[in-house]
Amino acid sequence: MTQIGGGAFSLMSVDIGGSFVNTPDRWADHVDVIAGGTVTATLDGHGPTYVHLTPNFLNVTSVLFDPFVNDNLGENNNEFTLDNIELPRFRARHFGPSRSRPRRTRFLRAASGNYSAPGQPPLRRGLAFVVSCLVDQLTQQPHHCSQLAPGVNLAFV
Amino acid sequence: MVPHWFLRDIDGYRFTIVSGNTLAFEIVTDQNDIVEPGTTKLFVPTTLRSP
Repeated sequence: MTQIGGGAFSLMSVDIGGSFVNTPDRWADHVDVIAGGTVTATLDGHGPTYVHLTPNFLNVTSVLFDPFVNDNLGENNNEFTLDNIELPRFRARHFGPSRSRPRRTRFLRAASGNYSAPGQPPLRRGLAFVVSCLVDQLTQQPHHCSQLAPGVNLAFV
Repeated sequence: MVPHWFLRDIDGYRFTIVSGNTLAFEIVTDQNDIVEPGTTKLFVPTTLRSP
């Protein structure tokens, strides 16, 4: 994880969880969050909720989320999810002119965006909804397609 | 060089897959069979790091 355009940032907290609740053997055993120091979210046996970490990494230029494989079924069992990435120094320009006063902290949440094939311009630009699908690592086939909410602040590069 | 389809920008920050047997990031929401169902999250099948 880096800041677009480079530069230092701080990661105060993050939630890390597994993936599909009915296949916990596909989850990473644990995930190390590394930026100088290391904090660990243990997913194995945790259950279908997030592990809340508070690494408090200050003025770092990158953060590595390093999953360790769950060896129940093989090398692909390192799935995990991220949510509620708490970053200080809210930058109003990311959210448009309606918010003129900076906040002390903000939560970076996964959000909807435009989907496109690699090297192609975004599809459905400007539309309110886009569709995303999980891709099953075992079968290599898309599944669990879902329609995302509006509010595009995510894009492929 | 990291293939560009292994990059994903979210709100001023860039997530990059740098190793592992993976396909891509996915944004997940309104799922009933995933951790904390119905919430939006970034699905990450492998290691993330800056290029």
